[in-house]
Amino acid sequence: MPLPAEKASNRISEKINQAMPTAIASDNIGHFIELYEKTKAHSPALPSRLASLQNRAAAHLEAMRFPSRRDEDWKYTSVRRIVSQKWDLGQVAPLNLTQVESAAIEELEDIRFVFVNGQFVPALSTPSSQWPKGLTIKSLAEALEGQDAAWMSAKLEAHAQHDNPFVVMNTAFGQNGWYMEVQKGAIIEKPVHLMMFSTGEAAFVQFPQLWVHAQPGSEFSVMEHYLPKEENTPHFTCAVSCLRLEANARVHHYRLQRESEAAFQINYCEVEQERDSVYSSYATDLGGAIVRNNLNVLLEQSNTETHLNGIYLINGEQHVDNQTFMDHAVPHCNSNELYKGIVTGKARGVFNGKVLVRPDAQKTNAFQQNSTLLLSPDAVMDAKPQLEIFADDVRCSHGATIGQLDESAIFYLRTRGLPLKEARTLLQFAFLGEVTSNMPHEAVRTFVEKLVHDKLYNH
Amino acid sequence: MSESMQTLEEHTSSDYKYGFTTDIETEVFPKGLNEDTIRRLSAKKEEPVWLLEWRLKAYRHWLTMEEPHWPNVKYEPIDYQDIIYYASPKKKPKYNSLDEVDPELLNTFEKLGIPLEEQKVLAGVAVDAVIDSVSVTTTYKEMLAEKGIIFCSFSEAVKEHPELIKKYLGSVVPQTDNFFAALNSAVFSDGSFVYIPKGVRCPIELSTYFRINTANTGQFERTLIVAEEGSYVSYLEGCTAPMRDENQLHAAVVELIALDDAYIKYSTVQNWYPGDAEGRGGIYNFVTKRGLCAGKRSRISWTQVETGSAITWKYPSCILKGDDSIGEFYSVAVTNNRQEADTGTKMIHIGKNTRSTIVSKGISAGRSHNSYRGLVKVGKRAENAHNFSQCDSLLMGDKCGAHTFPYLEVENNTAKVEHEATTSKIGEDQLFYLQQRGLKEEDAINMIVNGYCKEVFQELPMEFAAEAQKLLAISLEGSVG
Amino acid sequence: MLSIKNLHASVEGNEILKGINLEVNPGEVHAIMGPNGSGKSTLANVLAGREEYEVTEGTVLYKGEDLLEMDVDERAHAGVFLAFQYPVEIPGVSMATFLKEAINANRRARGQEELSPVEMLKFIRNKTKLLGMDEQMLKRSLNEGFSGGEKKRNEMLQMALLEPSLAILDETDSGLDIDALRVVADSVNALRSPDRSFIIVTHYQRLLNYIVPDFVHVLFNGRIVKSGGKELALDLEERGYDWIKEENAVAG
Repeated sequence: MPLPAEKASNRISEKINQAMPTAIASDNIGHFIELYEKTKAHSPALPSRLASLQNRAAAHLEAMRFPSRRDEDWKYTSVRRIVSQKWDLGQVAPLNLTQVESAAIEELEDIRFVFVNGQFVPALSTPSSQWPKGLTIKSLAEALEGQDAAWMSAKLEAHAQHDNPFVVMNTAFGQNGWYMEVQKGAIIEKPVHLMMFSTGEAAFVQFPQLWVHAQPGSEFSVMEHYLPKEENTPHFTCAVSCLRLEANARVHHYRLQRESEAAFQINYCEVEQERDSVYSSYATDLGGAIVRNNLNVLLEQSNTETHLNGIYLINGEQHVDNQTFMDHAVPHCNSNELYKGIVTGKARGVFNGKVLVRPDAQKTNAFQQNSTLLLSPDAVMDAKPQLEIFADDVRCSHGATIGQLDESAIFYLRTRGLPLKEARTLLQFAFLGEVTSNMPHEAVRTFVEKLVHDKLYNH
Repeated sequence: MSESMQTLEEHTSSDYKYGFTTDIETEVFPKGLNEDTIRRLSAKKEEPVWLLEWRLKAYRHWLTMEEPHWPNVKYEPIDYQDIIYYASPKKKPKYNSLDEVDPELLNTFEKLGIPLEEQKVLAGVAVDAVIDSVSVTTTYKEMLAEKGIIFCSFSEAVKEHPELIKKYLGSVVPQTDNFFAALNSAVFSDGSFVYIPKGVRCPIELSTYFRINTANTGQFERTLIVAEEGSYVSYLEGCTAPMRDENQLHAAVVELIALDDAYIKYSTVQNWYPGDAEGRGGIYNFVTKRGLCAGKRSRISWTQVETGSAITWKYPSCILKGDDSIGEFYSVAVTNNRQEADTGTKMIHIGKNTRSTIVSKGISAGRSHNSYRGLVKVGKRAENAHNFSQCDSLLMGDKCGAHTFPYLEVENNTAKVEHEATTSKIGEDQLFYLQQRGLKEEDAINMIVNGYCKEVFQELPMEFAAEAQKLLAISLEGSVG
Repeated sequence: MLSIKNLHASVEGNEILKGINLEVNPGEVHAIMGPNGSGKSTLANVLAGREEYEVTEGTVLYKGEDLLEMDVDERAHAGVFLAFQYPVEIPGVSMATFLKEAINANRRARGQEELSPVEMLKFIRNKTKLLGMDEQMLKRSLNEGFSGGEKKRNEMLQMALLEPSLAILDETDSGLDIDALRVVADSVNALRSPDRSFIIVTHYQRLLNYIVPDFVHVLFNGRIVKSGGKELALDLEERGYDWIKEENAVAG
């Protein structure tokens, strides 16, 4: 909802000659509008359709305000520290193949897309000649001009007018969006691996966009991988991803976030499932200063399966907020959600999981569990699992626990000779192991488990 | 729709058994609310100046507040100028025995199934019955007085025990706490006051029956219970209201204070008029109930069975300030037809080694909506806090909704907080099994529902538990009884 | 006692029973055997009146009356008892309450006087002891947390208490160890009488070592394809169901 503020600025509205309400951008929004103007002035002309869309998104953004903790959805997460800064877009910085190789996931055969500071680097990525058959990958602009992206185009229009300003912002800036289409029946064995590097002293903002369209009967895996930056300067990732699973498609979606503790991330992900499809998400958050993830899954047709897995392992002053929304709109669907986290230091974890079962969604099975270990005096956890049920023939449950390590288990391990620290670490590792064990790609699982292990030992 | 579903619906559409009105002449203020209304009200009640000021402060603050709309309920806007803020039975009674009471009134209680005479003799329950706004009869007073227990109407307490009222009124629910609490603080008409002295165990269950009678009368009770060190009291509150077309607003405030080692058990059976099958009429029940476990090892236990009201919005809460204090909330909330309920609790852990338990059982039928909303907050210094919450929802029919909104906020790493929730329908399998053993369908439903609510019913005092089961049967099974 | 003629029944549009004919006289024990998915449990549930099963054709007369016209509880009152394959759990409803309500509901319907609390307790305790069950069980919620064996024993207890005229056991022996199996067999044998009949639906012949049936029927693909004496069960044990399938594949 737009809030009146002091300064009026209607430049973009005037430009595209559209009647906008006399809503006024607040200062913080203003920073981003300025950045938008500046970027447009210096970048090459975009295809008209995309340019018009982005202008409309920017105009909409101008009339918005950023959420505050008075907004129910942002009750536990303040974005003030993120949006009060003035950001610049990232510039490509030198990176060589050895650096990429050393950051790769061992023994994972992947199709690589390398980004540095938000800019795509074709030279370090898997060349298009080596993309597997059945997988079409296009840039956002390219895809939007084509005939086959009606779904994406409609989504973008909705995002341009979205009530979440970060979604609108991503749409306005939307550089380097990628559209991946998996052809009917195609089984793509190698996961697409988006390696997001950031480097350099300069602070920057990036707006990644990912589109996955899995046609009927196809199988696909994709991984968004945010690597740590060496320099301790901040950057801000404002990402949007959209996945559409047509009948009987299966998609594994990894998000591995291990950025530096100066990094900010706001993610927004939408998933739509048609009948008999199976969507599995594996979200791991190890890094970041303030991280907010929204994951919305809409079940449009019957007999789908959805598995949402999440890990958050945070310390120091980290803040990770996971918001999931399972929208059961049709009968006979199953969803299964497991988010587990360990919060230490002065870190704060937030989990808000909503399961909505609409009136026609009979025979729904929806399960949700959120468990958190709170391991230091200053750590904070806020959990808000919600069930909203409008159909009667359903089985739904959710559970949330916040607690500590089991003292008797620690004692048991110590009687077997483990030092206290080892015993504690082992139990924590086992606690998160319940989630990692759901990851189907062994190389990824091993990799994530090693990261978890390292972080636990280096506490 | 399956046949058994139809039967379920037949069973769940029932008529309000207690829909009748009593003809007692009442003195009524004109509709509307302003400072003059409050001055007149206060004068009428011969209140001290400080209380008038207290009311006015609440009123002035209320004017700056907005009616909250975050609960998961929908209702017609309330016109606060279209409400009568004071009505009293005209024959201002002061009775020593029941014989002097208006027979019409006694008859009303009889229809409600709570004949005072019988209760006096048999149940050992002292009844402070409130018709509309003024307390008309109090029993057992003398017996309680011997032990130093004060149990009287709020107005009387203001006159007889001003020091206690001044000390505790608004100490748990400040007059600016929320929109409806502020309104209540400005215009509360009457209610009950209970004081249990140090070390005294109240020998009987204290009970109040409220009743909204005059059409268009907003009812604004104020209840205050203070339990001194080492004392115990069990307080029962029951409500029924007659059938009316207009919606009636009910905005009560209940404050409980438990000092060291004190234990307050507060039980409610609420079956205000829920409106008709199309959602016409019915009570708006917007209540603020809060208990303060001020002392060490103190304990406050809320038990509620909510079957009535068109709109229910209440969260009996516990502030666990004393070390080793205990807060409990046991609730059965039934909604049918077009009823809407948004209810739950808040457990605020502040002291060390505090414990809280939440057991909430929601039953939705017809086209109703039933929400559980609860907050468990463990403060930074609340070492070793434990909470367990169990929130279950049972759905009867395919047009109703059940919602669960728990908030868990933990700022201390020695806390253990567990929340579980399930939603399911009355199982066709369960019904078939019981019917195969020869039970009628409605008996089978009754048996399953009572089993489902058992953990809450067993927290109620015996005579209340029986009444609660009956109410449930009436709310859900129509023709029964 | 029971006369089934050309009974057809379907679930969600799939025909499961395709013309069952069966005559059960008072005092008889009939075993119904057959491979998985042949319609055994469907038959048991149709007789008890389960709604999901739609009878599309045929008649069932019970003591000369139209059984299919009767409600589930009316059938129970008339003496039809089903021992469930999967007894359901009902949280919060104690065994004692449930048994008391069930016994009195049946007595009322049969025009008998309700039992007084004392008589009731005595009656239930006796039968509980006979079945070798722990009395503590009466305080537990109905079937909640019961082991598989306990649930089946509980079914037998209810059968003993409700004294039906026609008891249908739906795979009561599945998954039971030999001790529990004996309890089931003893319960049936103890209740055998000239005016009481049993239909024992089972996948295995083992139970029939302890309960000697008067007739054995083989149900296959929704029809009774073979009937015989107790020796048919032994035959099936030895040769399995495959020869039945083959014979009928040729015929069908």
